[in-house]
Amino acid sequence: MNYQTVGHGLVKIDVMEKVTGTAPYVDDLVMPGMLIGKVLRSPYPHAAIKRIKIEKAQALNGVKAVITNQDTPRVKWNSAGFPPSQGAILVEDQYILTDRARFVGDGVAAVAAVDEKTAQLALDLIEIEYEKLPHVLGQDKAMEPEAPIIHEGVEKNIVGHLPIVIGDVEQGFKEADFIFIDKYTCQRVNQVSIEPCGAVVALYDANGRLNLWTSTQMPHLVRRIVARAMDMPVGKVRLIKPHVGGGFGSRLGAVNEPIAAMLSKATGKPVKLIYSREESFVGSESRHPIIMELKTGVKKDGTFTARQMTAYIDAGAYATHTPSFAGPVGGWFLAMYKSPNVKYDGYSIYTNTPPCGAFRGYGNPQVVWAVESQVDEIAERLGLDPREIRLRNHPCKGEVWAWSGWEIESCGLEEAIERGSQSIGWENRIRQGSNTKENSNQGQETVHKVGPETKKKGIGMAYMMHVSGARPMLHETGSAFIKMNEDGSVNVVYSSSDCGQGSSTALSQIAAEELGLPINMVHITQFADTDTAPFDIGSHASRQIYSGGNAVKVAAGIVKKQVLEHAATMLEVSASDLAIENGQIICLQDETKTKSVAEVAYNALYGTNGFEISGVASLEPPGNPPVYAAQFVEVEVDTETGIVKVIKVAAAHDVGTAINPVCVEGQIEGAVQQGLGYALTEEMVFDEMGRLQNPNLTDYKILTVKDMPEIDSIVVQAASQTGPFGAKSVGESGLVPTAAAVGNAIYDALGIRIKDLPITPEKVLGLLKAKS
Amino acid sequence: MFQLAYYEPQTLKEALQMDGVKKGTGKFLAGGTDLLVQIKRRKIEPQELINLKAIPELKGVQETGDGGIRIGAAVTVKGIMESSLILAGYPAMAQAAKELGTPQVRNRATIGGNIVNASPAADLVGPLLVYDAILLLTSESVQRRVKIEDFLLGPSQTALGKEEVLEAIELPALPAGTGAVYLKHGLRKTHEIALVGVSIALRSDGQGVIEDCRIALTAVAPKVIRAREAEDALKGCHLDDETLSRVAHIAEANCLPISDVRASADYRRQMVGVLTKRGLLSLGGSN
Ligand SMILES: Cc1cc2nc3c(=O)[nH]c(=O)nc-3n(C[C@H](O)[C@H](O)[C@H](O)COP(=O)(O)OP(=O)(O)OC[C@H]3O[C@@H](n4cnc5c(N)ncnc54)[C@H](O)[C@@H]3O)c2cc1C
Repeated sequence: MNYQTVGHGLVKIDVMEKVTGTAPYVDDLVMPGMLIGKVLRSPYPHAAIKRIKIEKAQALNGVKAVITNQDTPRVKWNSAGFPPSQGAILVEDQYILTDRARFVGDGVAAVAAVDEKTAQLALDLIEIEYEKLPHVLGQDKAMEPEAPIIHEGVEKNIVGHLPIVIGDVEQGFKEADFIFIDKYTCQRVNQVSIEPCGAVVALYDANGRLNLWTSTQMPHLVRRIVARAMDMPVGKVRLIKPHVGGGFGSRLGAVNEPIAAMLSKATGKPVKLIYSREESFVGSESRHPIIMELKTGVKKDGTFTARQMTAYIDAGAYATHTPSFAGPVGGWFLAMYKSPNVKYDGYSIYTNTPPCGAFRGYGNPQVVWAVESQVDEIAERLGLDPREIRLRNHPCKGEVWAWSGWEIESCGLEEAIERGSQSIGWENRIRQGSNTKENSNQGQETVHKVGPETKKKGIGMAYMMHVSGARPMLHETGSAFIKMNEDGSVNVVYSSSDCGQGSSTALSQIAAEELGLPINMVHITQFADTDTAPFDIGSHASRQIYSGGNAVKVAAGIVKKQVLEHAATMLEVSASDLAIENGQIICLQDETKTKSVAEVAYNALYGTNGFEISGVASLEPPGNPPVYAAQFVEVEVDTETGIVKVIKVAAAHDVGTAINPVCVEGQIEGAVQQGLGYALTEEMVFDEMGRLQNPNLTDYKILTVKDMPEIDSIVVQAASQTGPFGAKSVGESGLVPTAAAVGNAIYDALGIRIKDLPITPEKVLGLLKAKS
Repeated sequence: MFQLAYYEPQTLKEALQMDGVKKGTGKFLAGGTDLLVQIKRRKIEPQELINLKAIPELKGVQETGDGGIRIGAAVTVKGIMESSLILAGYPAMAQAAKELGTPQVRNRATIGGNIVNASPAADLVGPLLVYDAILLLTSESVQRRVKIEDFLLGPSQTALGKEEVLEAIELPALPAGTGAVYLKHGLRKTHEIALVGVSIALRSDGQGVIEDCRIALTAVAPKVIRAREAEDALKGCHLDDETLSRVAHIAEANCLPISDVRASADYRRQMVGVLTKRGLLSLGGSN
């Protein structure tokens, strides 16, 4: 298809504001009389609060409010951002400030003061008598019978068990030629958006309305959660989202909005509460560590007879997302390979650590890490090319995708594998004979020898599937309102958050394409305001373009119809003979009959029986077409230091129609950076007392620009049938297969398989030593 | 309530007469890249900050006339990295400077701060040890010269007197044919605190027999240390495979690493051996 705007790599619409540093973020906001909030956090992983004395803090000059659990509404709530849906299992187990500390960093009190220094001093003056309780770290330990109970009544700390059974795995294992049993684990990682998570200004105004300026991915749902936590009607809360400095899932729910709201309510003043980097590591949710036990039955030809996974998910100290999250974890697992028999059990387990929640990929990176590492082993045992076993077993176009239960609209995996292989030089790998490593049994002799003796190169790949939205697990209402100004430009009023990914640019392109307008005549809201923007469930589940784009396109269609109808009256022709091209109305029959869209819009507003051309669409998206990706990684491992250097990543992603190919590449590259960190260097490390050891960017190791390899982003466009202009998604998928591909490349280089992330030099050397 | 007064003395004399210096309640501020972090984390609560950056004596890199150089304590890490005198005569220093922190940190951080902060992982200190640096310590009444090895006492502990400032660092002239190297080991290529660092200065005769050698180990003991036994084992030897692995083992035995969030003691020790070997190899042809 040839489009005017869609498919073009237009410059992001917010680029000038961003690169000149003028784009306002929450921390830039200043209001008259504004106070600064601060949170006092528990130094203990598990402790009852016997007594809190706040008098000294209250007496300090400049302190306007000190609040504790005593002041919080008597409702328990859940901070996770879900629309009420069958798939949302929302255990309500937290107060805004706790009466019992369940992790180091649990909020126990908060203050509002005239400035930050005073607020900090006030925290020091709060006296708390704790009674230390036994604590437990690690989901495996937390399930043991003697483990301390973190929430009364939750036996063995298991807050959720989600089983899925298809067919009969026992029968399937009997039919298998080989059975593979493995245990994979992965660490906790943080989203580390550039704007630390937890940034809000709250103003409880004289009308009794709560106004929140907050950095969030989901304005309407967070409004709802805050209303619940504050025990007030939803309509009394107004939420405004300025620019957001990166989300990656960390802002998928309420973070510190309720605390700021309470402080503002207590003082009647605007209160700014901004978490520092250190606080945002423990005060917001990170990626779940999961212990995954895999059992897979295969035939000699590489088809699966039975697939089973038991996942033990570390929820952290509060349920938030986890019991619901266990659902998609099972979904990713069962939907990525066809098998007549599948069994999944997902256990959500409390531990005395900060809660875990949403992070780009939502469980898929963990699952793919385990499954794709094991599949690599299976392929080797069966003597199959790793690409072949994927191509034989993946669900394809026309088949039912088990994640959604719906037919797959399009599949670009074959092309992705083909182009990715070429980019990385896969044939080279086969010629080097790494597939025969097992047979030749000469260990490192068979791997490619390049450069000095101590460096070994290898190539690996992994595949994944992901969603373009949240249906049918969640209700997925999204809306857009478009109105036309008298100059023919349109305002697209849209509430979901562009967190930097470029969705507002792509959505503008969709509106422009549908309306026949040049892109500079489309003005999309950058600040979402729940008082004026129609309802949308937010920026997550890779849904902005497929689902949000659908709402924008439908609304634009309504506007277009009005433009054409009004133009038809003005030109005295039939609307069906008219079209819009580049802001101009053209009559297909008579080219002298023409008007600019501006003239039509002006006439509509100021002519007789004036009206504003406008359209609103509010609906659920038509489906949820899956996307595919294959990533190929080349590594060079230093066998003396254990350092893994990634030489190249060829990331081939089927995204459907790429509305803005440059933004798509940006999404892939950014995600690969996170995926490599997940594979190699990033890990939140806790000591035995549950204290995070590295809440800073020196010791929490995000790969820097100097560490990044060449990334070849290969955009495969197998257009969907239901998406706007054939779009599917790309937001999350770029990091999903990366860790597995790195692990498989290391195996190719060294013949060692590391089963717990991250793949540190020490683990590499340990296995190398064990092997020799 | 903590109050922090800030001063910007224009001369060394003025700085040394400050109340905060006399009473010991103040702290000298150079780049602030260690100090301000410590204040923020509330490890220390000084009452005065005395900025040293305007003081002329603490600036610049100059030749000393006897073949050595003098580096003002307030010279930035970027200044070290780019100084032609250092690049030409003391390349391991320039190398260490290049690998310290990030561009933003290197723009502010100073050599004086790196020394006085006395971190066992301080990047510039290893090269200073193998170049036999002398520190010029100045108080209102006296000036003394102390070898860097005697200056460093332990983590955050130095021989700096209460009323003293580190004015400059002197690097003596090197005998002709001395080669030196700094190898820093970490997970990332930049913004990395050394897991292990190895500095080596080496001189051999025309036949490749090692006449003199100094090795310093970073981040594997309470302070940056010299690996004297490894040095002794090298003298009089050729850099053959046997010598390399023997010396690497001795260097491993010379250190006392700890396990922390960055790496285990075992791994650090192992890397001391690997880096020592690699460093020596890289200097093998330097004569
Ligand atoms: C993000 C980041 C990354 C870093 N990475 C590295 C790294 O890779 N390698 C590394 O070695 N360090 C690193 N550091 C630590 C720090 O940057 C260095 O140690 C730096 O050299 C300190 O110098 P400064 O001028 O900033 O010292 P300051 O912070 O100003 O001072 C440090 C201490 O020295 C004292 N002091 C300073 N100058 C004098 C003087 N002339 N006389 C007497 N006392 C003095 C101060 O009172 C203070 O106690 C890093 C720091 C940060 C924040």
